Amino acid sequence: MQDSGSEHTLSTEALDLPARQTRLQEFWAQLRKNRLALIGLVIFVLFFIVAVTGMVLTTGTSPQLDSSLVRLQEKLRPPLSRPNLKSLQADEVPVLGIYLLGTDELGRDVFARMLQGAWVSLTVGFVAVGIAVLIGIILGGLSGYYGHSPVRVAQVFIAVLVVLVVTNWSRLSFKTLAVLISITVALAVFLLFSRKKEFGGPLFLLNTQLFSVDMLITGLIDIMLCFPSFFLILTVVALLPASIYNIMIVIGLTSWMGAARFVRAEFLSLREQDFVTAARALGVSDWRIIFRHMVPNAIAPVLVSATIGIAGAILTEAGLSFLGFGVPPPHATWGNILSDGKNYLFDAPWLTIIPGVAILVVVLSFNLFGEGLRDILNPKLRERH
Amino acid sequence: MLAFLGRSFVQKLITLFFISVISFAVIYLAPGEPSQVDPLNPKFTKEVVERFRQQFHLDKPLHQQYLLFYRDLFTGKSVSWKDGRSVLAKIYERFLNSLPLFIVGTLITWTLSFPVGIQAAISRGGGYDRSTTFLAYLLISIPGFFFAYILIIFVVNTFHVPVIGMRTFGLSGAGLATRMMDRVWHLLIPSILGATAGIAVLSRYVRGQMLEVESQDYVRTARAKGLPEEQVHYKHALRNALLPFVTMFGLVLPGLIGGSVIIESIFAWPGIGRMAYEAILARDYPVIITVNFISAILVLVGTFLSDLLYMVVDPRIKL
Amino acid sequence: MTPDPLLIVKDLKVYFDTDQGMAKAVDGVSFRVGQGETVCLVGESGCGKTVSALSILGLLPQPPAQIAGGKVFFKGRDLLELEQKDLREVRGREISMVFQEPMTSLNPVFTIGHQIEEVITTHEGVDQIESRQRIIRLLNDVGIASPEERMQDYPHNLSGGQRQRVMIAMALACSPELIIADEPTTALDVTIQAQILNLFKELQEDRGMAILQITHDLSVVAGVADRIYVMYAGIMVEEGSVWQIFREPCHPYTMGLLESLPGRRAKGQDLATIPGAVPDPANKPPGCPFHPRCRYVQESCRVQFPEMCDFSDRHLARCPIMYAKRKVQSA
Repeated sequence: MQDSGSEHTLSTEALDLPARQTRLQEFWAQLRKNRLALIGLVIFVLFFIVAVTGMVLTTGTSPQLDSSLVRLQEKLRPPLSRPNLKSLQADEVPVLGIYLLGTDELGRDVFARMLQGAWVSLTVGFVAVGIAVLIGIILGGLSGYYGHSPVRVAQVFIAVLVVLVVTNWSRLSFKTLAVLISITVALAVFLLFSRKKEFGGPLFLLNTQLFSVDMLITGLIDIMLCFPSFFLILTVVALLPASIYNIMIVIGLTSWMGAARFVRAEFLSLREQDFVTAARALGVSDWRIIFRHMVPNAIAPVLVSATIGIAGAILTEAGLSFLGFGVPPPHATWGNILSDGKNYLFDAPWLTIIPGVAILVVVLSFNLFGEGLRDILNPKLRERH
Repeated sequence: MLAFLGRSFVQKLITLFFISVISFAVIYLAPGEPSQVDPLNPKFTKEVVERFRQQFHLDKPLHQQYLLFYRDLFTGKSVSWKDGRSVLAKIYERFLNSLPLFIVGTLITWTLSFPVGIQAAISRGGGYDRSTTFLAYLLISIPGFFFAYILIIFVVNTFHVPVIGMRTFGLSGAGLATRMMDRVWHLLIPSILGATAGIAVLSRYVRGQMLEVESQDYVRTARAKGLPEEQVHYKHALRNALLPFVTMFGLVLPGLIGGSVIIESIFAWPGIGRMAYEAILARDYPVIITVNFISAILVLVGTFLSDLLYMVVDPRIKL
Repeated sequence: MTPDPLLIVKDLKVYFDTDQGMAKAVDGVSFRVGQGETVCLVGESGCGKTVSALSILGLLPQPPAQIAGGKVFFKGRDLLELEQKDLREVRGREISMVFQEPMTSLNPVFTIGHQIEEVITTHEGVDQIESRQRIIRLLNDVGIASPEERMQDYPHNLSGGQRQRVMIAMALACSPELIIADEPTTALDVTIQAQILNLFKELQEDRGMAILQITHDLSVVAGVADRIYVMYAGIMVEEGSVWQIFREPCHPYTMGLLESLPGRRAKGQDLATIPGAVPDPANKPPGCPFHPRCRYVQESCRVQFPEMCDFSDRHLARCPIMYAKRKVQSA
């Protein structure tokens, strides 16, 4: 029972340890029973390979196109058509000698762009979810582990003062700034000493607790959940300069709530379990308990939500690209291939259908694999099947 | 009961305050000083930044900015940069346009999800369950705009009806029936599209709830009493499985804005989502910020409503 | 003892398909319940007694469970062969059940009156006024004060003991000939336990139905049972009258159970326990399933599945070793 959860994380990485082999085998046996999840995993791995080979095979972000073609009809060529070898440089010839998936309105090789786009979509998905999971684990962990710790009046004052000072830095006079900063420092000093001493009178008020860390963080989660995520992302992306990094960061910053909730719930129940109590009784430090004992146990639901989150991030990116706020050119993403292609829906349907189906298949595989993972990692659910 | 309501209300008020702060803070993502105009960001010219400073009182201290912002908003002083109309009036007008789309979409979602989810749970593991499961994943995974184009091509080619916009222009001379059908077609396709993801998610959720309840002791009791299977499923299990959904009824409210951006853009539907998108394209900041703020409030109102509804349906909460 | 028993369970086998393989939860169990008798099935949790009881009425979800063999005769009909429709006629009308968890066995969203009424209206075409009177009488019989008002209550308004009384009223509603009570007192406080057991006794005296009590608590058994069946790891290890079982238990497992009862030993002595744990139903030990924990274990126990041995008048135990020992002693 003690390490019932840690197996999940270890089973994926500790391939060479014979003791863990059985866990991995068990996992594998479970996975093989769930056919949809298995298909999901296979496509997932294929997608990964495609994305990596796309980086290697194609010429980074520079477009592969035949510059000799001028007219649109010449440029838009259906899948499997042959390139005009005479006008192409040696390194401009498409990978397999033909335009496997046709060319787009600029005469660019769609296959090459799809390969590049796979890499970009994958990066967006992983980085965005990585950010979300990191925030989720930190906030969820804080809330689950230190949830009972009180937040005191003085601490709230300090936070408010710091915000005031930072945001009004240029607007306030030197005098007011000095006063504000010295009050902040005084409060901090007070907090340091108040742990040892009892204060009477009005100072006592400063030391009373307002709410707990848990309330603070769950409150933050609730507030973030109130905002319509897609529109908020759209707003922020529209306000910030267009860049692929901004998109990843914004998607990450607006989608950590699920992970935080899972980690919090997991931590709350793990806190009460014997092996954590035992570790604490042995004088193990908080950090060690959290990272050695609790995070590995709490990681299973996070993995599931991360897998499904990647699917969501890819869809969000595609949606943003479609509305014209996605990854800016020259980066190709499946989303902007599709949104460029929609203008030629009837002349060159492959420009819409190929990226559309590709997104569908990849997102579907992530979702299926994530759901399968949930079933496998959750023994309670497993009994029901 | 009143205590529960009161607590919920106070909680919502506190959340509302922070929502207003965050909505307001969003304007700080834009560069604050004209001298700081980022040459790499073509969205901000000197003129835009100057206008920004004036509209949002950026030269005042922070707390005054905050108060002034909401004073302007609620007194109608906050106007759209595009046409100079009051933001709230503009939103209200578009809101009315979105309403039919939202109502039809929600109706489709709820009337389809429940039978499908319940049936899947009852025939768990069977062919029906598997195929609806796969279909649900398919609908969740398909990019909305891609699906929209497929559907448009299909409908336009098969039924030869126009579907873009709220109605076809130049039909005013036609008969009432023709005009009615025209409106129905225009309404139906975007509604169905808006409902797809909802159907997939909700039917999965219904199935999960139903499975959860079916394994409860009281369902076994009902069976042990000799009740027919239909009564066991549709009375004893379903009544309990439905409880959480009554509360979800409050949560459909926010779908009014959030989910409709892409679909209203594709179908040129002059609703609130399209307005928001147009505002973003035109960098109409007062509108952008207000739409965010209002949709967050809708979520808040929705959760409060669901608390209320829960009290009505669950005998355990009654006092 | 009536010559023709009400319920005869013959060589019942219930298997579960699990990840670890086929779990033989019930592996050839036979017992009988005579008219008006109280029969107890005793055993540790996980020994298959609840599974046996549930499969009598076909209440086990299949899959994962599957009835792998055996017969369940109730008044001459094999319940395992019945159509769902006919089985429903039996449930609640001829055989009814009282479950272990009164907290979760009542549906939280219906009033208790309605839940009792359902049984009556499902099985008998009775009008509202009459069924209402019957519900009030039933609630009165099971010792619920002011039944007219209480029948409007939801389960969460009642205490655990009261809920179990409601469950019993529900079981009695159509005057069944057999009530299967699956650990009806386990989830209750000790004082309430005694009340509920007494209630069963009184009701039986008044109405003369048979009761199949399922319990892990031998002290419950002593006061109420006519006949006791002891189960271990999916098989029957001993059966006999209360007197026989308590006076001269023949199977080492029964002996261990009796010794672990508090009060059996002198003050100050530690309570006896049976070493080891119940085997995993998916991989039971070969031979006698109890042999790893048995203090009389012999080589033959490890390989050969023991036969039921007839110790005295209808007192059977599955232990040839003890049988041989007793034979030597009495000779």
